Amino acid sequence: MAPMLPPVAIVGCGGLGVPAAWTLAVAGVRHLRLFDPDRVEGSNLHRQVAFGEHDVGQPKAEVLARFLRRHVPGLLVEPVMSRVGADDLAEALAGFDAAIDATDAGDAKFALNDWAIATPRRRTACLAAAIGRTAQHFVVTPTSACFRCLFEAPPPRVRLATCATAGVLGTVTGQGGAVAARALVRALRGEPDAATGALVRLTPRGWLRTAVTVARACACAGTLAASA
Amino acid sequence: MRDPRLLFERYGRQLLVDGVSVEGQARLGRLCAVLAHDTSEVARSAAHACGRWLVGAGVGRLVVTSGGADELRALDADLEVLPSPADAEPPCAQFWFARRDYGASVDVALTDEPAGWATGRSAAARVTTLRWVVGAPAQPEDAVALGAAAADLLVADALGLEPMPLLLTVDWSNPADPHSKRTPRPVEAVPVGVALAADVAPLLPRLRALPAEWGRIEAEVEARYPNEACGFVVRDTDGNLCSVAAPNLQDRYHALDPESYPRTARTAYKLNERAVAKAESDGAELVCIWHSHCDAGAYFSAEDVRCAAPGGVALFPGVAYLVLAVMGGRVRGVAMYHFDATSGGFAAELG
Repeated sequence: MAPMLPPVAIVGCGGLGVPAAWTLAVAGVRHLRLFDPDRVEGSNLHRQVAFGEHDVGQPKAEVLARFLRRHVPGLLVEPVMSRVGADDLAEALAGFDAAIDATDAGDAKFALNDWAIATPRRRTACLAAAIGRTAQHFVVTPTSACFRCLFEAPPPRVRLATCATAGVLGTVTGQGGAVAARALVRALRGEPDAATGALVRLTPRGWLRTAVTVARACACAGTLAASA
Repeated sequence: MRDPRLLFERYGRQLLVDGVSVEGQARLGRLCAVLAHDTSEVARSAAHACGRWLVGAGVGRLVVTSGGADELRALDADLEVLPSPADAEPPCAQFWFARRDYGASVDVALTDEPAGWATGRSAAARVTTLRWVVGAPAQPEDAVALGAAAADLLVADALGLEPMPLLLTVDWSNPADPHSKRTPRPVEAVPVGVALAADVAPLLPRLRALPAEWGRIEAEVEARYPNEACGFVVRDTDGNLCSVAAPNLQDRYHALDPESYPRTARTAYKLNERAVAKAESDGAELVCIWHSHCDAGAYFSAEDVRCAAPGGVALFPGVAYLVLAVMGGRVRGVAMYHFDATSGGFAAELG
């Protein structure tokens, strides 16, 4: 029998968060906490496929929770209609050792990465993103390289294109979020996965992997040694 | 077609993607997707997920073969949900989800000619197979990703971003080297629907007038559904027409060599030619090769042409080809084709 999967928090209930939550639920995660401050808008519907036209105006986290309960009976889902950032992440995720960042904010990914590599290092985080026809994810485990080993710091916000400026395909966020969650599930089970300590990208040419080694100067190197 | 005033609100983020146009969006809106799957929970979940992303992207019509129709209808008030594959008018895309030893597969058949969906004679179909390779039968955590990946094939094609390949393999089996491989569709002119030569005697009415022989063919193709069935008809030494069912070897070929045989038995057939040779060695004359199309029309597809007459040369000169459309497990249409050496194409019997 497969080992029980621990509770998972999902930060962001949009194009990536919906397929990620759905995948985690059907994979056997029994407890999910969903964070999103926004309400469903008409422009979300092409990619956030848990939401229908009658859901417009309702809180995304609550609508997604209802969708998940309907599809996976017995699932414990806690919708939280608030934004979480670096300042309140530890408190919001108290009791959780696994989480996915499914937001479109670069700094949120670094915040969750830092939550994962904090001492004592025991947490697992998946950092997902999508834009246009591309998606990517990176899984940080207690013994892997981290997101800062690859990117030292978030880029300035003004430099980043967003889905609102560059657009995005729903089928791309669907694959991106679902494969990211699949990678997290495999990491939580202790199974080798392409995204553990590596950047896995979906491009119009297909899926690609970039392995990342622990950077000596990275903050995670110290916590990695402490957990070894 | 959706109210143009609402088009940008709903599909604005999609229309912003490089290469996506309002025309492509309209093309998606005209499509009818038929979603079918094997009995596994993974395939059922993936088909449902695929339906959600198709509706989200703007596919206008949908046929679902097992529940979930109300949920999908709730996504979009303009969505037309049809009760049966037989109601699906082209342009039409059929999806078949199946759990496999190596993971899972999705066959997508796209027919965009207005003629020949259920009973037509010369519509062409483009068929794609998506192989989702995880090194073992797919697990529940694969379902949502598989559904989105299958939807992406059709959406990218309809939006004009990426034509559907012949075969797309997404291979996760080696964590150190995940990769995708697209085998492009060869560009070829496929002559079908040429005029039938006047000196060719129609075979279909003669065959249908033999209840035992015709019944054997119908029973076989319905029993083999949702896979394609195949066989042949011979004229025995007494001059009688006899139908013979033969195993479809396609799945075996696909398992051994997926590059050369990208399709599964769901959308292709491979006749055991030794069975034909045996009948001929007994003195019988081969007059017809038959096979079924599952949840698709009775047309002679590009794949059928390629197999029957590679390079425009008929493998069995003078032999006719019977195609039976099996929808939801019942025969809904038939057509008989004859090779025309002058054009190098196939012509359907009329009437």
